Amino acid sequence: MGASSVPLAWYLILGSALFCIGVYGVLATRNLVVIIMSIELMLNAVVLDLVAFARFIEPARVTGKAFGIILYATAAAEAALGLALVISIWRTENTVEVEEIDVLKG
Amino acid sequence: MDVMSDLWLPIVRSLGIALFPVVAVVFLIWVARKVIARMQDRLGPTNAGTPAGPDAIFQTVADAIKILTKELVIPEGADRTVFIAAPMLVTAVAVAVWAVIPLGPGEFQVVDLEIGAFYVVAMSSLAPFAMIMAGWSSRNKYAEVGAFRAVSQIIGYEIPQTLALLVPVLLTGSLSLQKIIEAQRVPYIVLAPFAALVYFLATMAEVNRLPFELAEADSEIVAGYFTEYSGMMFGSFYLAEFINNLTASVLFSILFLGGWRGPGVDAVPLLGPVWLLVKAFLVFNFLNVFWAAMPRLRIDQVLAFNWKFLVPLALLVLLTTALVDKLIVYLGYTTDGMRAVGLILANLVLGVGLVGYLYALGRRRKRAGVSVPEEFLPLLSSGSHGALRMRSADVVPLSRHNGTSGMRYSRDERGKSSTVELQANHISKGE
Amino acid sequence: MPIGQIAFLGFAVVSVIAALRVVTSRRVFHAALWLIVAFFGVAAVYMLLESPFMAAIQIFLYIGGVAVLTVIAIMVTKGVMREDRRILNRPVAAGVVSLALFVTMTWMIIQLPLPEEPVFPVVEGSLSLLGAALVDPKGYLLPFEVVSVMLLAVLVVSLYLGKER
Repeated sequence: MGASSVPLAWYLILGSALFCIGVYGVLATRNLVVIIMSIELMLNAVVLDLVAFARFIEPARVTGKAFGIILYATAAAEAALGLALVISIWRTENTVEVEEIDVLKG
Repeated sequence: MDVMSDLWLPIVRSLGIALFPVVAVVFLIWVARKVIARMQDRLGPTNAGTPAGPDAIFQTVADAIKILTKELVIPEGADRTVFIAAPMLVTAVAVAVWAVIPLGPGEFQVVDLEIGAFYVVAMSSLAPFAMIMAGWSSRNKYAEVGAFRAVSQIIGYEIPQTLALLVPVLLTGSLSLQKIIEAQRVPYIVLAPFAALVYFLATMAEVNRLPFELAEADSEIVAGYFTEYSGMMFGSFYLAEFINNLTASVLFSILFLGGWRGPGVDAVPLLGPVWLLVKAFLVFNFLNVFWAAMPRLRIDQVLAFNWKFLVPLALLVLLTTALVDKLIVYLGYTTDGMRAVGLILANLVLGVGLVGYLYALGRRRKRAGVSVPEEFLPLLSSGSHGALRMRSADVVPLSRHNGTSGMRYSRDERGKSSTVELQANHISKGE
Repeated sequence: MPIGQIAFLGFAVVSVIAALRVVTSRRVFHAALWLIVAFFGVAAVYMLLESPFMAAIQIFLYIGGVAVLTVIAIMVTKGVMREDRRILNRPVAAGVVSLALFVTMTWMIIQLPLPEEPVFPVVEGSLSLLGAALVDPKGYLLPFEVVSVMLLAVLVVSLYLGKER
């Protein structure tokens, strides 16, 4: 199979594209849940870069994958916590628009 | 072209193995209905058959024709794309698992992934997604509630299922399903019966089989998350459910009963699939027996059973098996027989401990008298004045009655009863 | 063009388009579904990177876990009801920032002398090597244990946050 004919640069560009789309999502959306989804997208892009590096540069491909697994666990935990917070906010404020959640403001 | 002649055999094999569950399910639905009917002292489908052969053997074909000719009704406020995509996803997921199932030694598999068991887990974790899509896009309160319940049940039971699945993986040292079968000179149900038990119970809940059939309970929430589906879309859900049942039976036979192993497989490789299907058929009928015999559990009982019983048990079994396996090797007994003896002893100890624990739990509950889930307490006492007083020893714990809602009364052994006022903190707040 | 490159381009385009639809969908529920498509695309790219394990973890953890949680949060917060409002907030500025970031990173990547082919050949049994490294005291045992403690902490906190008061 010609899978090894894809240069590393292409994988990294894909990772950075996903990361930047995630950045756009965090900056530009009003809905808190969509912001959390964009954060997950960014973390996903990071792990993609890690695994790509591991495959191309490492002999045993272990470090990148191990780092990636730990990052996955952290990302999943953070998503769970973020969504629990969202549900908690929904219960008190009855909204999930970031513009309207200003309890801590000024 | 050179590539095509190389690809011809794998493509045919993949198509064959992908179509196999669909075709087998046609037969299995008939078997299920007949077995359940006979167990319930009735006949089951009797039309649509051949004069000489078994009753209604073409019943499923007739059902399929009926379903195919029905109109596909999409409710007006529903989300069209998602509504139509949900049954497609659920069927795709059900068939996708078959990519790694080894039907026989050597070449009877689509692909022997190094991570076979994990791929199975990953694919079956996609199922709740289709349910959410179906429930949400129907814009129907019953469908949403049904979807929530089904999803909480399924993602809850994924945990003990995965933990119990790790026990054969642990005993084999590899995630590949083919290697798990090849390592089972002694079937793992002998070496790890409690893991098999946990896996069986968790899988029963995963495939929505009674007593865990809450998601589709006809008498409770219409039809749960596929209330609004008609025609072939409903047919897809039904098909996917039975394919899941077949997959679950096949996986249980692979992981714990030895898969395609059996007398004569070395000589005639074609006997491999035959043995696997025989074992899977036995497990499938076992599931049918449960369907026929048990009433349905309530959602809180389902979840309590999972989180309070199955998950700790699964963890305990995994831990014990891992420790005992390493201990046996450490002590120097490296032969198969000694390993089997050690594991069986460990499981016996575990079994005795489990039975003792359950017995003590039962006694403690009986002595305490009342064991009512919190949400029923408002029914028993109205406000902080406690107008309704219950006789504590008269109330039999609900968990002993397997899902009938409501309570029964009985006298306790000494013939006495005592009155107690039930107070719950959240009630006296006046809600 | 070798088939590996065609496959990669296909999956990459699918992922990027799905990610774009995540941040631009009018309905939040659709955004969650597009997120799942993006995750599938990335899982396919992992397969191309010869790591079926990471692909399976991606599907199991992200799609079967995080995405399900997200959709449940959307259902609870009734995200789809708010579609009458504009869903984006200062899109132009955010677009400029992320585009600038992307251009900078791509330019840096192109400048680097990155290998075209894997420097080392595929190692057999890399899965067991990974498992061994995760529990090796000289390997990644400490992060592994820290992650388990962290998961426990997050579990307890999420349960507490989610309880009905």
